[in-house]
Amino acid sequence: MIEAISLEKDYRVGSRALHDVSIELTKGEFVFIVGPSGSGKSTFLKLITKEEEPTGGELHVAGKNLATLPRWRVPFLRRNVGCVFQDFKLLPNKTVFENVAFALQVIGKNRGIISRQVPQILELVGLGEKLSRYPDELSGGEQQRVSIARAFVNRPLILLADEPTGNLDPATSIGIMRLLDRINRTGTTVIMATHDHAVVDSMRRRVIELEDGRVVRDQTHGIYGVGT
Amino acid sequence: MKIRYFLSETVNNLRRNALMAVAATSTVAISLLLLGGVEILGMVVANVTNSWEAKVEISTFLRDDASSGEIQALESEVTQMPEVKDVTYVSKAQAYEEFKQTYADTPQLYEALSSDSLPASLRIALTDAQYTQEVAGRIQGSTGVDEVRFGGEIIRRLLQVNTLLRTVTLVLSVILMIASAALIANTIRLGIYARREEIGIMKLVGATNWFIRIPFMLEGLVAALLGALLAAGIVWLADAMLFTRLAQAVPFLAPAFNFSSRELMTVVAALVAVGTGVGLVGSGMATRRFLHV
Repeated sequence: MIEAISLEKDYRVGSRALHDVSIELTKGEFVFIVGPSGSGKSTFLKLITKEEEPTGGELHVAGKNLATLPRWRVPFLRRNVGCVFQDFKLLPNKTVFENVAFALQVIGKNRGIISRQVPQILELVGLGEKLSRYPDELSGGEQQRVSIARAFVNRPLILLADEPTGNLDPATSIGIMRLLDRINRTGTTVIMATHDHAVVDSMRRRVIELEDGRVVRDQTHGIYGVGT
Repeated sequence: MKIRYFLSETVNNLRRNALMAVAATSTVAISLLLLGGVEILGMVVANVTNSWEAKVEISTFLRDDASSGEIQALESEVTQMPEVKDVTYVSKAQAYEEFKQTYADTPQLYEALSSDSLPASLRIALTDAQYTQEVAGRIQGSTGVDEVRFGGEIIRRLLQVNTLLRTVTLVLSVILMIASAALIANTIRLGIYARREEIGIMKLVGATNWFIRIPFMLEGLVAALLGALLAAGIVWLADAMLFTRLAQAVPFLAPAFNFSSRELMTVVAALVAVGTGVGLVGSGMATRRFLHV
């Protein structure tokens, strides 16, 4: 599903975000990318959505070589890659329903599909009763569920989550992880960058650890850190 | 669905920065009005020169010492020219009478002259104005001729002034059009800034560049089109209310201000077309530079 070969990324000359990163992720995998701040986790995710361009190496996503993917095809790549962030990135002036519907609307889905799929996905994330609420009327956990619903409503092949539990308390985080696990079990590849030890240790999934832009560990049923 | 989305986004954007939109629209209107003015001026000058050329005359002023034999010889020579339709002899006395009539309001003018101070002349009407220069040249050197004058000079001057005026106004309206395009671009930039969060999410979920761009392009187009329609409307009104009445009130202006509706439509259509172009340029600049899609 995702294949990185000797991936390099320098933001400026001398500052290296990723160095010689080779990772292969198969369809339906659930992977944690761990490591301290600045270790290159977010950079790796940004390369997958082609928000950033690698300075070396090769990256294949869903069978496409991103280096040769023309600019106008990038939106279609992103329709296959859902994104969830620490700060939710919801539109404050739109309701829960509208926030999720917006994602379908702007890729040209018709109203029939929207009125069918949006309530369905919101039911799945446990917000079936809160369609007409505004984001500021929801708890952090609920807001993150809306953001996951928005990322998943189009049934992408890959779901990227950048510190999705970073702003949430442990109990709420468990709920979010259950949701991501459920999404993973529908066959969606989930890649989650985090430094939340408890979450990683409880899930026992593949863990890739980055340090100064290098892969220092790739473990199949890993925990957050051997030495921590 | 898509069209409804684009239209409602466009209307929202325009409403959100209404002041900028009004500024952009009025700049477009002003620059296009200038352009329209230039076109109308061109039409007026064309009408005037056409009507003058139709009745252009050559005045051949005779020397005071020319004998009547010389004058008769000249008159018969000119009458025989194929381009000449009619020749009238105007004596000194007749010239003075005409002068008196022309300046009846200001007696000081003709009282200062005696009845023989104006030269006698031959007035030559031609079959076609295009021979004016040629015939005048032939008469110029003849015996007894003092000076040859014809309307051609005035027509040439008029066309010169017209060309100058057109150039100046064109330059001015081009400058204003660049300003309009910049104002439109700025209006759109504000719209983009106000919606940067939404645009970010649109990119994130895979909205195509054109999908993001179109509402902003439409916004610029609508602003420019409104300006163009405003300018076209003012030109149309000016014709209906001002020029037509002016032509009725002042009969000698009638030929100058009498435009066919086809001519007028051409001007209006040109204004709308140019306005649309300005809108597209402005929107293109803004979405290219500020959207980063």
